[in-house]
Amino acid sequence: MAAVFGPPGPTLSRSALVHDPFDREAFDEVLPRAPGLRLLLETSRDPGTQDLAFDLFCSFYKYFVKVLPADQVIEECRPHRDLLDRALGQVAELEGAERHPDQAVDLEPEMAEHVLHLPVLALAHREAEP
Amino acid sequence: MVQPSRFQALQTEMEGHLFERHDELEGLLLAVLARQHLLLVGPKGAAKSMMIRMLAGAIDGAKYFERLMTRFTLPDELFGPVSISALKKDRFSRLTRGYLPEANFAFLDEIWKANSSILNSLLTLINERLFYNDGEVLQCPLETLMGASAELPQEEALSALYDRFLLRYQVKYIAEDGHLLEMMTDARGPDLKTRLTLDEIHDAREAVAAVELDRPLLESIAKIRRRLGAEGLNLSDRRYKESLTIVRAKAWLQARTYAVEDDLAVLANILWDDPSSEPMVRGFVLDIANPQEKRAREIADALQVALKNLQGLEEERDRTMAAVEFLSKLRTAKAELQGFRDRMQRRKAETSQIDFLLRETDRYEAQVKRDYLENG
Repeated sequence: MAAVFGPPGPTLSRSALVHDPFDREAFDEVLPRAPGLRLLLETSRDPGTQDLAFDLFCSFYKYFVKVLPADQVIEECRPHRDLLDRALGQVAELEGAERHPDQAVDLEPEMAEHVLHLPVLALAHREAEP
Repeated sequence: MVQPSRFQALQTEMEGHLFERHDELEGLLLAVLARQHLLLVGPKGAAKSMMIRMLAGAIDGAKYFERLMTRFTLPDELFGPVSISALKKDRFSRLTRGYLPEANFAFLDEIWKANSSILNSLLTLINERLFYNDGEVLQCPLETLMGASAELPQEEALSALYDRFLLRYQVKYIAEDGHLLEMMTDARGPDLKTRLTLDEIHDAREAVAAVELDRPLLESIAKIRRRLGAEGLNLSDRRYKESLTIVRAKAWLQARTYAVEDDLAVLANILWDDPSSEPMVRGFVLDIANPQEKRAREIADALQVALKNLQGLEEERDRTMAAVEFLSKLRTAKAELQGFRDRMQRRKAETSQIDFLLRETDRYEAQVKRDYLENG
């Protein structure tokens, strides 16, 4: 019972990406429909496999993907961060060569109206059952 | 007979002054209605004292006693000074007027800072409402003792007193930036227009005692107890028995003469002992009492995390993209909350918490559109 209450301290993330509980829910909803991935996660001896799988899921299916600063990621998951940082950097380079830098920003308000069609958001679109 | 709407009006007005304090303010009213004691624990500067003073200041005709406890606090400061004239006659008598033995409501701030001897001397007063003064037994009018602290008792000797605080709330800092900004610019004083009288509280208490609890409801409490016991959390029989007074008060506050399973949600603020077990207790209680409220709270917490992520981004392009994603999640969350509200309305359950969360989602939506999308 000797708890002392103070301001919350900084917490380190196991995921290398900016994420929230909705992303976790979307991942948890995908798993029952992905037997291969489930088998991989169950048989892996590396405790970080689950974290990497989540990050990869987010990388492919989230609309906004951003790598966290290294000092916000738990040490054992920093290799995931480096991997994703490099991979996403390459994607950004490819995208940058194909479109005008301001193009995406101009389109965003309009995109907000259609965003429910994005894959991860559709996955997160739960039935309203408790 | 006093109506629950009087107490609801006071709660609503207090909530208008204090952000993200719905549960704690309801808890204060429930403690008063049930004649129980309440403890607020949380970091300094989280409005613990303000909530208590606001409530105490809204009750007319009641004697209020408040003291900031330190390890140097003396019994005289709580129970009154020793009478010199009585001492001259070889009697040890305290002058209790204006002190805890004659108070209707009392607030002990930083309660666990006081030494165990002085704190344990409170036991009889707050439990039996008796005070022994020079051999005389004084029946104390104490209704509710409210404690606040940034820590929990450090000594096992204080566990008996800790157990007497039936309601316990963990108070946290304001989570959402918008609320913080509103709080910082709010120049209103703490005075409330809604007033209650001590007589109204006594009248209400009679009605609370008459609230019916049926057998299935009691069995639900037994089920919660079994689940907590399986997790090694064994609380006193007294705590379970006394918890019924709060369940009754909760039902009455919702203008019902009978309790329903939704009312059991308040047990989440009674059945934890250690703060680390509070989330588990809340989860078990809400699983049985109100799974929709449990899910609604999860949604609210997730939205706050998502909003905080968004607010923490520095680059404009990132913020715009994250705002688009946030709005999509928010709409999905809102649809789920609306589904809950529809079902709760159909079974005439209390929807104030869901209504509040839905208003919050509207506010988030407007804020994110304004701050991140319209000016881009």
